[in-house]
Parts: sequence; structure tokens; C-alpha cells
Amino acid sequence: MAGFRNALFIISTFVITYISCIHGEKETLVLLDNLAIKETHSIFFKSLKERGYALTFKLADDPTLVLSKYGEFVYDHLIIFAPSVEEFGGALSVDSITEFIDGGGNVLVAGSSSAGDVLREIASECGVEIDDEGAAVIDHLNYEISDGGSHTLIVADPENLIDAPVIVGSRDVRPLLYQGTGLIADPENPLVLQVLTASSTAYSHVPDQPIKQFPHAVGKKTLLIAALQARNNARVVFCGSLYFFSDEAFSSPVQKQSGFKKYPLSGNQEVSIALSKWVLKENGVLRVKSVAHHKVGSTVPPPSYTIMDDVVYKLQLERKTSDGWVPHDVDDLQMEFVRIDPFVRTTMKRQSPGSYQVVFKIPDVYGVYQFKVDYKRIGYTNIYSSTQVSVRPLEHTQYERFITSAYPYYASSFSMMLGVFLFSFVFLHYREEPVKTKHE
Amino acid sequence: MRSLTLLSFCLAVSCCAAASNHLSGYDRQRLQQVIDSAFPPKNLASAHYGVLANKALNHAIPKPEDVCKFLSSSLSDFTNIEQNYYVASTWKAIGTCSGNIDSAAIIKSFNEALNKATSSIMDLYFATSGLKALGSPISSQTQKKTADTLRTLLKDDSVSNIAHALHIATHLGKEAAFAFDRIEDVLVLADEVDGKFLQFESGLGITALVISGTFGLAEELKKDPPITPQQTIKFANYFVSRRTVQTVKGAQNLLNVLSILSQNSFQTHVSVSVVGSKTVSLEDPTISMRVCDLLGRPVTAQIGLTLESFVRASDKAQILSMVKFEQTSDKMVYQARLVKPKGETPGLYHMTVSVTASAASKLIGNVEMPLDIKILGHAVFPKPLLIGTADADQVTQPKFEKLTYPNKLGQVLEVDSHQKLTLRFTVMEKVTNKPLNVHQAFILLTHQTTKEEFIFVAENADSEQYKLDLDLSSKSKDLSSGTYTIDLIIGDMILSNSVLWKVADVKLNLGSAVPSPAAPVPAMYLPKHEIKHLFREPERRPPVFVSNLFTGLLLIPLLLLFIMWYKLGINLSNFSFSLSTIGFHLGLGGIFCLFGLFWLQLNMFETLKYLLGLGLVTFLSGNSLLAKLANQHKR
Repeated sequence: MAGFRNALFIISTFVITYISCIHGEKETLVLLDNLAIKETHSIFFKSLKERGYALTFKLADDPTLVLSKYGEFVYDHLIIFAPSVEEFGGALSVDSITEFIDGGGNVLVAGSSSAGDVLREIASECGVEIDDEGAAVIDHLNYEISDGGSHTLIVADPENLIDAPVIVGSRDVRPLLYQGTGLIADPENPLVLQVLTASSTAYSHVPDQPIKQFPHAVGKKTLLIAALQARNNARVVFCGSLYFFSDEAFSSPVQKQSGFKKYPLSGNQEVSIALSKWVLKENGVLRVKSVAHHKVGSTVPPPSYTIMDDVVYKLQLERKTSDGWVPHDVDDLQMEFVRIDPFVRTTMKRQSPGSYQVVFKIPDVYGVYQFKVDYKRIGYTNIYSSTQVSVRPLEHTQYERFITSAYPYYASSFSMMLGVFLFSFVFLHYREEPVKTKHE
Repeated sequence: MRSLTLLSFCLAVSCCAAASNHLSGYDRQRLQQVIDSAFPPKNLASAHYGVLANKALNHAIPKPEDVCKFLSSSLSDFTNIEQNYYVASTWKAIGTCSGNIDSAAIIKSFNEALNKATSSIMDLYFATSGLKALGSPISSQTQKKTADTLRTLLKDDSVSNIAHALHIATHLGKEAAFAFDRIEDVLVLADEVDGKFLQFESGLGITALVISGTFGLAEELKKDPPITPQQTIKFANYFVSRRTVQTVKGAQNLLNVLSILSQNSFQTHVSVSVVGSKTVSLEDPTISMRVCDLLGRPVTAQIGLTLESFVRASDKAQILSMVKFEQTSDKMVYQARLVKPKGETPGLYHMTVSVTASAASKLIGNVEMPLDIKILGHAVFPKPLLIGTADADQVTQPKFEKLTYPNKLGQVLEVDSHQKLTLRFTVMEKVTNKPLNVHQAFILLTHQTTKEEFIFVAENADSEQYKLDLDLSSKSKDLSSGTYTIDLIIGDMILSNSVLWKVADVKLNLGSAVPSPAAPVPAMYLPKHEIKHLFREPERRPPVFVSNLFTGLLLIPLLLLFIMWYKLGINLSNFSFSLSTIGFHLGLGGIFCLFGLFWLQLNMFETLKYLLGLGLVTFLSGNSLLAKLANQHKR
């Protein structure tokens, strides 16, 4: 009996761990060029482990690689720290990675000057281009003093980070070290975010070849880190430099070439960790906790609204943190009342932390409407909530009853009715006076 | 007199891409920080590695008495070989511990483990190392027994097994010479990375164990280890590349194996590296090289450093050869002057330096090292920069303004859509006074309101002059009207002064409106404009007075009826109280009241329901009333 109970206990523990594994969304596949990267980037991986991620390290050309089994994804996140991989091993390919992103998986990719074609293809699937093989970001005016001589170890100014603390944390950090290739993004594509750009004097080119053609990326258009939040909220980050995440970059001092201020440590660690928190969906994840709507003066939603009703719409917004979901406060949450086109769009007022309300009058056009909240902000997951309600016209008893200008009509009809009543009485019961004829 | 011979190891490995191939003072400092995290001790293993690593760095152990107390308090179970080993070796390593540990019991436990045929390889490893640390010799009988156990265990030839076996064999004398033959087997399992590193898949710990075991056993058996200098160098490169290790155990392993590679009787690794940047210039004509061992300590053997050749990359002209470096006040740093006082053509140069030493010192590593050195130039603008405008379709000579570096043009240039903007400039090298062909010669146009940047590459028209002709009619799609700042960027890796020169302000009139500053955030991420529904306006109504007037007028006919009836006099004597009479009139009245109610509150179906009842009553009673009246008339 005791043995049975023990077995039961072990099984249930196993099931619970299994479930918590599934629901923890922390399964992460890390693809590496060689296993040395695991050690040269140990601070970065250590911070992931400390935050509860189950990292599975594999070589990028490992023949046993799989992302999904029986139609389910085995991993929640994918980190590709394998710049020079030419072809993935196993069942992994550009298609399966795009499928992974389409299925909501998050991907962090780091490249280098020798980035392989597979990475280039993944990048172009995500709206980012990686510069040609051998090209490196060069900045003759902002290179690190320990640079090897080709001015490719550049000092990136944190001012060039995107103004979105949810993605990169504070911009008030020490300068960043970067060594790698340049990325190019279509500025018209609003989904690709330019997380870190180079300075105006930088360009991306093969260092020891003269510039014959216009370089692919020049000045601030040279992207160092690009991020994409797809419409399904899957997040992808591309960094042109694997070095950016290395222990060496994390723990190196920074000094721009000549006579500039020397910083004892680069800002790479702060930015990398913030970036990893964003891409692995620890930061900037919102959800709608509840939605309610009713007429003013009531508490339950009616089966349908009548035109020109005053209506109350309430919504509660929450944000994911390491300690669970907390109310999320914003000032620009908008509600739309939509029948094909929006009829009303107003900013919701915050009643208490994370809970918003708006009171408005339903338009005088009947039809099928939706209360719609479509909240897209840089760095945050897209919030979309729509609640369908029908709005009907006035019943005949609901129209205005006593219209002054119609009093003549009322008076005429009632006087007519009274007249008919009285006249019929008189007509039916009238006795003619006996007619006094002349011969009487 | 010792004959100094040039070492003839010609190494195919060009290993020197790494900026530094030994532990610098900064690296040692960082490792010290990692090691300090082990104190105050939390567990035996980290205390053990922390103490040993501190020893390796010649650093005092913080509060050794606390560590000693921790050790004696954690010694409880004498059957745990691993813990016994940690306690014993750490205790001995501190050396200054007052108090006592029961070393006899520990030695007994170690010997028991060695004599047991079922001991695991880890137990054997800890027991032999522990005995060694305590200075207790292993009897020849035990040695033989252990060797037998080891031979059985070695049937599993995993890397970790062999690595530990090498260490165990070190303590077993001649008995375990068989382990020496396994070194070659295990070395072929190492992975090569980028042609630069050799490592075992399981990482730093095992790689360090194999290499320290190899050299340890070779030392013990006085045989050359079966490892080629190339392999050793690649392993050494790997170890140095792991200098950012973050665990105490890793730090101890690293320091231990590096000191073995720097100090042994077979292959002594020497590191040659450039101090500071790999660039020289007329202002700073000397290059400093550091020669040291892997831990950044001076090499014990007598050495010299020679510059074998210094060749210009572009035309292979040899500039210098066989120059001896001079030792500086820092014993490890050697200096040589590379640039003649009258200067040298800037560019890339190939340098080969050699470490010379007696053959007995068995140096390997960067003994004949190729290096790429750059001689930096200084860009100057001897001729003024010309900036001007010209009509795009005409061949007339443009009108140029002259500018000298680093001044900015006083007035704002105005250019319109059928003109072109033209720049001409010359970049010279200061020393050689020859025109420079730079990598980056960009013209940067920054729109002053939108802050948008446009970059154009200046052409090197002839070898003398750079030019940029910006035909605005063809660029009108990209550029927009407004005031731009023009910057000239001159950059090259062989320039010591890359230039960013604010040249002028220019106003472009392209026929389009000046754009307003673009929002930094795409519109889809911003709140949308608000929409207020416009309700239909109520129709205009006539004044109340008019309505009331007409209401009054409409009541006049009824009033007239009453007046006339009054005048005429009404004789209602035909009225008879009967059911049909009363029913008809009440019914008719009721119907009219119902209509009133219908107007006020009832809906149609309710009205119809009531109307049915009332109508039936009215109809029947009306019928009989009329019949009665008709009969009366007949009579």
C-alpha cells in the first residue's frame, strides 16, 4: 500500500513537473556554431538560466534537430548563436523556422561578418537584410581603442537605441561594443523596429576592399540590432554581432579612440539582458483581464441597445511581470464603436490602476456594432478585443409623445371623437317636435 | 657559453588573430573577482577551488581561519572520498591552519578506496590526489592493486575516464605506465575550432584535466608527451580564450593548466603580443612587444626578440630586416623603431618577429610570429575645398566658393531642381605629401528639420582630386526641399585623424514643400484621432404661439355645435333606458377612450385585443338599438 502510494506520489510529481514545464513556456533551443560559444557567452546564458529557462544546447548542424513533433512545437523559444552555419541539421530549415515564428515562437539571431546564407534567408523572411558576406560595420570616428586596426570594433552610442524602455531598458547606459555585420531594414515596414542604429559616420563594407559601389548600409541607416514583433505577437530579434552578447563584450572597458572618456565597463550586459527579456516575452506582454458593458444606471448588459442610449464600457488591462500579472496603467487606451466603420472613437479614462471606463451615447443609426479596443504600442504585444452588440431603432412607444406643434392635430382628433360621440347620442335619441301643420 | 640558436619550430599555425594570447593583469583581476565569490565558503568544492586558485594567483586567502573552521566542521563522514579529498587538500593548501583534522582516518579511507576493486574512477582520482596532498606515500602493493582496477575501468574509454586515469597514473609510478599510451587516443578526440583552438566537447574542465594529466604523467615518467607543439598551442589558445570563465572551479582549472603549460620540461609556451595598438606613426614610431608566459609572467629562460622582416603589403618592398628589439624597463616589454624619422608611406605592413632562446628552453608558441602592422598617416587638405552650383544641362564652369579646413561656409548656398551641387577636394598625406586614396570619402547631407540623412560617395576622379556632382533633378525623388547641412567624412583605417568636416549649409528648392519633422514612431503605434458621432439635428418646429392659436381655432367647430344646440334646444325624450342603448354609447365612448390610451401608452396588439371586446359589445348593442329605433319609426 505504501509502495503504491509512493508510486502515485512520484507519478503525480512527474505529471506536475511536466505540466509546469509545458506551461512555463521556458523551453529554449540554443543553436551554436561550436560548443565553445556556450562558454564564451556564459554570462548571457547564465542569466537566462537564472530566469528559469530550460536551455538545450545543440550544434546548428546536429542531425537530430527538430522544432516540432506531431504538430506541436517542442520549444517555445529559439536562440541561434551560429553565425557561420551554412545549412541546419535535422528537420530544421528556413521554412520550419518561419513556421515556428508563424506559430508564435520567439527567435533571437546573432550574426557576424561571416553570416551564412541560411541566416540571410531567415532575416529576409522577417523583413531584414544582412549585408554581404565579409562586410563589417566600420566607423573610423567611433572605434574602440583596442580595435585590431580595421576599425570594426565600434562603440555604439546608447543615444541610437530605440526610445522604448520596454525593449532595451534604460537608454542611460554606458556605450556599447559592437563587432559584426550591418543590417538593412525597409523603413516603410512598420513592424521592423530599429533597435540600435550605427552613427552617421558608420558604413557597412568589406574592410580591406575599396568602395567601388555605394555601400548597402551607410550612416544611421546601418542597423546593428533589428527587432520584429509579428502580427501574431511572435518576437524576433536580429543582431549583426555575436560578439555583442559575449562575456568579453560584457566585461570589457570602453574607450573611443583618442582622448575620449574611458568607461570601466560596456553597457552590453544591461542592453543584452533587457533585449533577451523582451524577445523571450518577459517584458511588454499585455492582456485584457475583463470586458464589461451596460447602460448607464444598470449593471448587466442588455440583450440589445437602442439608438441614443447612454452606455458604459469597461476594460481591465494587465501586464506580465516576473511575479505574475499586475494592472497596467496607460493614458492612451482608445475604444472604438464600430459598424463597418468606426462611429465613435474615444480615449478611455482610468478609474483605478489597470481599469478603464468610457461613457458615451450610442449613435442614432441602428445596426450591428462592435466595441473594439485595438491597442498597438512599440514593444508591447498587440491588444485586440471586440465585443459585438446589436443596436435597434426606437420602438413606436419610445418616440416623443407630446409635440407642441402637433397640438392642433391632437385637438382636432379628440374634438372629432367627442363630436361623433355626442352627435350620435343626440341624433339617435332626438325626438322631433310634432310639426304644427298649417291645417291643424 | 650557451649558444643562442634560432628556434627552428616553424609554425604553420597563424594563431595571432586574438588581441591578446596570455592573461593580462586585467584578466587576472577579473578572475580574482570570480574566485572571491567563493569566500566566505559555502560548500567544500568551491572552498577547495577558491583556495587553490588563490594560491595559483599568489593571492592571500581572505580570513584563512574561517575557512579552516569551515573545513573541520564539514568533516563528518569519513566514507565520503570526495569530501575527504576536498578537506585534506584544502587544509594542506592553506598550510597555516591551527587545530587539527583527523588525517589518519582520512588516509585510511583513501587507502581503503584504492584497495577496493569496485571503486569508481572518481574515487580513485580523489584518493590518489588526496594522499599526494597529505604527503602520504602509496605502498607498492596498493599501487599495483589500483593499477589493476584502473586497467579494468579504462575499458570505458570516454574522454573524462581517460583524463582522470592520467592523473591517477601520475601517482602510481611505473605500475600505470600503460595509461601513457592512452594519451594519443584521447587527443585525437579533441575538436578543432576555426583552425585556432583545440578543445574537448565537454568544455574547459575536461580539456584542462586532459592537458594537465598529459604533462603531469610525462613529467612523472620522464618521457616526451605524445603531443605536438601545434596541438599544445591550439590547446593553449583555447584556454586563454576562456579567460572570461565565470565559475570558481573553471578559474582554478584554467590557472592550473596555464601554469603547467608555461612551466614544464617539455614544451614551454611563450606568448608574444603587441602592447597597445598594432599601429605606428611618425609621432609614435616604436612598437612595443610583450614576451611572457601564458599567465602573463616573465619567461624564465634567457630570450631575445628579433624583427626578421618588415614588408609593405602593397608592393612587397622590404623596409627593415633583422632588427633586434630592445628590452625596456619592464622586463617583459621589448621595443623597436619601425618608422624612420622622415616618415614612411602609410599602409599595411607585414612583420615577422622571432623569439630567440637556447634550444634547451624548449620554447613553443609565438616564437616566429607574423603580424600585420599599420603605419598611420595624417590627412591634410592642402588645397581649399571647392563648393558651388551649376546648371545641370549646361557645360558652363560652375561658380566655386573656396573653403579651407576646418572652416564652414559663411553664407547659405541656394540650389534649385535644375541645378547641380558640386564639390571638389583633395586629401593629402602629411608626411609623404602624396594624394591619399581613402576608404571612406562620404558627403553627408542632413535635413535640418526632419534630421533625415543622405550620404553620397565622392568619386576619386583622377588620382589627385575627389569630386561629387549632385544632379538635383535626378535626386528629387529622394531629397526634399529645405535646408541641409553638408558634412564631409574622410575615414580610413590607416589614418590617425579621420575627419568630420562641417562644410556648409545648403538650401534646396525642389518645388516640393518643406516636410515637417517625421514622427519618430510609425503611425500604427500612435493613438488615432478621436471620432465624435454627429447626431442628426432635430427638425425646426413652428412657434408655440402658432400651434396654440390653431389648436384654439380647431376647437371652435365643437364650440359652435354646442352653441347651436343650445339655441335650437335639444329634445332627447326619445331616450330610453335599455341595455342596448347604454351598451352602445358606453361601447362607442370606450372605443374612443381606447384610442386615447393607444396614443398614450398601449401598443397595437393590446389595443386590438381590447378593441375586439369593445367592438363586439358596441356592434351587438348598436344593432339592437338601431333595430329598436327603426321599429319605433315604423309605428
